[in-house]
Amino acid sequence: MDCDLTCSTLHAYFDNELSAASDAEFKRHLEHCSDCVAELDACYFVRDSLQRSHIYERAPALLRRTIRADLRSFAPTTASSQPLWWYWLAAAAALLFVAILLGSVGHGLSGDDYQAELAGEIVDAHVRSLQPGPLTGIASNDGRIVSGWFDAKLKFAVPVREFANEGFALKGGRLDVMEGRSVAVLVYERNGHPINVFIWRTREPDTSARTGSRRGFQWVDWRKGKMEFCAVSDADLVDLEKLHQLISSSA
Amino acid sequence: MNDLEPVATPESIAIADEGRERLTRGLETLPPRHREVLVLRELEGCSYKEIPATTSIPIGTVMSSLFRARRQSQSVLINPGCKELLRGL
Repeated sequence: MDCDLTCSTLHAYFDNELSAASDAEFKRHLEHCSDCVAELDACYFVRDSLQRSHIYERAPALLRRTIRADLRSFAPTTASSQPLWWYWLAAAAALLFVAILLGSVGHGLSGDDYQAELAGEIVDAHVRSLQPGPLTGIASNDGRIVSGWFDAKLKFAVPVREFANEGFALKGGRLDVMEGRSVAVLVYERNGHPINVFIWRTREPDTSARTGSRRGFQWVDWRKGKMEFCAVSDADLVDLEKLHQLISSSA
Repeated sequence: MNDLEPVATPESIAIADEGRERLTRGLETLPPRHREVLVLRELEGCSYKEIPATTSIPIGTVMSSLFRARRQSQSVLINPGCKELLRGL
């Protein structure tokens, strides 16, 4: 009954947390979605009621400045019904993923435009990956189930293999959209460290693995058979390179 | 104050008081975390970066709390009697 966006993008839009591009896109969506228009009205009503009622003394200026000063990186609590590592890894991986795209060749826009667009995409993907409700995805250690899930959603075939015997447990998969392209994400776990493997179509030729490290996360990126793969994790690079080997040789 | 604002009469003040009372009681039915996040967002104007920094609640939980707080507030506020009272605020 409800539009898919009413519990996700809509609230970020309402709080002015979307990039200019996504904001404009959502405004266009509003032109033909009565569910979202109604939901937005309800949000405005709550906000107006709260603000006009003066039931709350705004925090003194000094306290407000203190709250706004020095944003600390957030620390996850363990008391959560959602698998919190989903959010952590989704957020961090999304950031890293785009950093890697920034380094890749063949984009048409000028340097500055591209950076600005991608900065917007980073924030959007970050915000989207942390929205309430279950992450669009499938939790399963069965490669056929995960593969079948992707088949129903993507135009390209996603190679899904189980490597439990080699110490990489398949945990599931999910989808993301970055730079307007659909990206499949396979989730493995190695010694308690979740690994996200981003997979998307490319026209570029095959490459050997490039590796890197950023903000405490490691990544391995390679291209094979018109697909690009990027594995991201806080696990050791040695482990990621092993996973790269396993995935490449099984394709 | 501009010329177009209605003059506060004892009656309108009483109506506003009752609306505020209803709103406060309604908010008290929210779980504390949801209420905290709602207040920080709607009344303090804190952003999606600032709320986790202030509360140490992770961003994912903040967003789901906000979503639920808004939905719950809607059902508290959007009933005919309450709406009339709130208009008088």
